[in-house]
Amino acid sequence: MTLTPKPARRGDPNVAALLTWFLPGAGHLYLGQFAWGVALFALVDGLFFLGLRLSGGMTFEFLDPELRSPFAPALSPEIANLGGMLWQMRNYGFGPGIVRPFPDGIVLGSMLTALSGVLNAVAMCHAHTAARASAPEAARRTALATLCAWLLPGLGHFLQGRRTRGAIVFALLVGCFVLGTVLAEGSNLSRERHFYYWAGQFGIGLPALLGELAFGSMRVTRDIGFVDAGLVFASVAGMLNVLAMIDVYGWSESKELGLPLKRSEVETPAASKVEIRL
Amino acid sequence: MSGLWVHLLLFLLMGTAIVTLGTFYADAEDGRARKLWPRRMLSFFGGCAVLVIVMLVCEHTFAALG
Repeated sequence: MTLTPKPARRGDPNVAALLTWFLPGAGHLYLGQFAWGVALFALVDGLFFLGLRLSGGMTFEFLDPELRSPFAPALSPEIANLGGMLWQMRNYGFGPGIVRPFPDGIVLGSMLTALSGVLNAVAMCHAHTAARASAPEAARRTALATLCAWLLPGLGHFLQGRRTRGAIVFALLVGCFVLGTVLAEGSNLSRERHFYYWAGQFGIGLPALLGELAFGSMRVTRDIGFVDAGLVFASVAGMLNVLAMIDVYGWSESKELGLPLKRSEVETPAASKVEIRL
Repeated sequence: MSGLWVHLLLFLLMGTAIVTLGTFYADAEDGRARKLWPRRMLSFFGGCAVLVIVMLVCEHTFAALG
């Protein structure tokens, strides 16, 4: 019988990830990685507060009055930076309750607060791996692959050497996002217009970011025939990319920590021949 | 092409993306995922077809205006 060596643990990976969720960098401080902790706090919360400043804290005022509740903003990318989101809710909430003009930097600002959420999710991946990895590069590679998987669907798989899978993920998800945007005639690329669909499509990374910067401010002056289908396509493509990110993270985690790869419960010929005798 | 056929085509596309990503998520090995994919496609679209039939029967039985 051979025993696989247990990876070194710096701390509980779940505690490290949870601490990072509440406060960027806190999980790394818990693991004794001071430099990482400070750098991540500065990056993630720096982006968040820059976004808040540009948007005047008015992002959640995009929500229609009937949709506003304490849990309504939880379905936005900011949820991955829980401390920041709670701070925003406490200090800005849904505004004073009167209709007022949005500041000029609202689009970029709300994009930055959402981006800080995604980056904090990647920081959570880093902390979760760093708690168990013996070499610091392992956590860095895992987090980088996960970040790349968000930036461009399939890129994370490609960097891992899983090129066929990466090409399929890219073709399917970017294809669905582009088709959705064409069907919705670009009207999906606005957080103000479609708060929750926007949150879904933000999961596809650069295509959504660049698309919004290029076409997000266009006006809708007539009925769009397939707008609903377009919104669903773009939003589901983004959410499916989150699955792809988890797949990339799981693969890296298995490779770096020597864990078994995720396998489905498929009935194999050997398994089907097992007899159970009572 | 009528609206129904366009929607069916769009559903086919989105269903393929959902099943494929679901299969990739379920199995990290490409070879095993490839073997799993046809059965998953069949169960997904078969299940959807059964659901459509049940809904049409219910509509015809309980909600028909005629």
